[in-house]
Amino acid sequence: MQNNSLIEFSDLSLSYGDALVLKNVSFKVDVGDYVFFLGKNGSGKSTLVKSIFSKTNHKRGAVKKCPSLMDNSYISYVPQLTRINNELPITVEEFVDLGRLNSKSTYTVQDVLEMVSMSDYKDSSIWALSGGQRQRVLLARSFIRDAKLYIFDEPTNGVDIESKQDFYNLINEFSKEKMISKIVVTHDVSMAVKYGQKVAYFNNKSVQVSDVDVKIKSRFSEMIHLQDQFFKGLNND
Amino acid sequence: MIETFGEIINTWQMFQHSYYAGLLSAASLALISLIIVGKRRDFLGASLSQVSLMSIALILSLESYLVHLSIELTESLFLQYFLSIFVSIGFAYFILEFFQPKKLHSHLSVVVYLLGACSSVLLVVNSPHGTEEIHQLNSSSLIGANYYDVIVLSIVLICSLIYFERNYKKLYLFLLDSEMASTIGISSKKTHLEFSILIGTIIGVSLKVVGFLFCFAFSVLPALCVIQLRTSMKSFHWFAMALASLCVLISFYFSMYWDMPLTQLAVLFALLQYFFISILQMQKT
Repeated sequence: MQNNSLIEFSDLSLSYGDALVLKNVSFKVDVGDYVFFLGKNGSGKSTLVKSIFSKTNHKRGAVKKCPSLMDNSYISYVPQLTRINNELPITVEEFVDLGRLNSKSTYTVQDVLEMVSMSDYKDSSIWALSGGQRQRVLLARSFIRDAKLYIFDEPTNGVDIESKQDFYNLINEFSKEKMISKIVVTHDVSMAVKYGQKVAYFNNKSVQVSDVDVKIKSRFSEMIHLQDQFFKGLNND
Repeated sequence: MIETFGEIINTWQMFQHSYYAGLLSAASLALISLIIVGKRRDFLGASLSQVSLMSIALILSLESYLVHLSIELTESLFLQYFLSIFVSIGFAYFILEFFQPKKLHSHLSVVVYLLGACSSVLLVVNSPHGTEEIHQLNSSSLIGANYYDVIVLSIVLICSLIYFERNYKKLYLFLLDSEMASTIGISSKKTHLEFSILIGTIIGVSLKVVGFLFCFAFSVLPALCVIQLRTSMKSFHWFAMALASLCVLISFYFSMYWDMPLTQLAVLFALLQYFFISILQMQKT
């Protein structure tokens, strides 16, 4: 494993039950990388992410992690909002504080709530917040771990375009001047091109990784701009 | 009404073990109601109570069979407790760990419930003593509780509270967001095993003392009330225990005042408490 690699998927085949989901996947995530996992539902994006934490689905090959990621204390995971049990009572402050479990972070709850501009809501129930505000709280919970690798599993599903951009801008703001790596699992091509450095495309049980260079970004930027204008127009109407 | 207080004090010596057992069972069951409701397995308490009942019936039928052979089964009570806890833990783990999708685990809970309910009666059909015991446990009665029941329930409650206090944040994160919990190293298998030991032991012990109805009601209703009352996770389990104990204390008084069975009244007050809180919350929102 190279010195600047955080994670290396080496000839990895993964299954879900008896069904083979991914075959002979080989690529690496380097320190500071911002990788977007794109692909259809059931193409193996989340299964690959889960293989970082557990070996249960491994059929063949290996996931090599750098030594600092071995005990998971430097990994931060953000699930979909809908996977969180919304029946249990919890305040914003308590929710963010749970992110400190098994971590060596020195951030306080107040620090990270200020980063996402949610410190005024710290005593509110998380279930009384809007979708966009909950996303910010989820981000605060992941930031408090002060991790080396951040994994966002379809984090902006069901959120409006402004909240989506707000979400990715907050990630950029937080990771500025930090050598942290980010993996985002999403269906959103426009966000992947706008914010990502690399795209891993999941198709037919294989993964193709390519850089998102300036050329691609500029080709997509007009489309993204038009999309923004369209949604803003809808909001004004 | 004041006379009723006097009556409770006068009869305290005679019924004290039943009163203590009722309070301790309600508090212990309220503790696990957080896990049962948090895991969205509301029917788990009912299913486990029925399989515990089935295991008690099994020992009673064995006892009756051995009597026919002129062999006396010593330590029958201990065996009833042991098997009841053991079977309850086993089924709890089976349901929690292997039947994750909602539909599957609710199907399994129904199957386990029905299996326990019919076999517990069928197993003791040739034993008049066993039949009486199973009917009593099915309909819930606190009056037979003794000194040893109180000791066992106290030990179980203290151990469970220590577990909750030491692991509260991890436990709550697991219930709230199991994916995040597993990524930071909280093992799903280990946590389910801990939950199963806790739930299985409390239901296994409580069933023998307070019966099915009480076990089922207090393994669900306290958490359902606290969820509506609180916006914070802080002291969730203490609130649940306080609400459950309050219902039991009120039922002590009214069971004496109206001369009605204590356990059924306690369940009725727990239901009224739940309805009252729900209506209050509906008005608020």
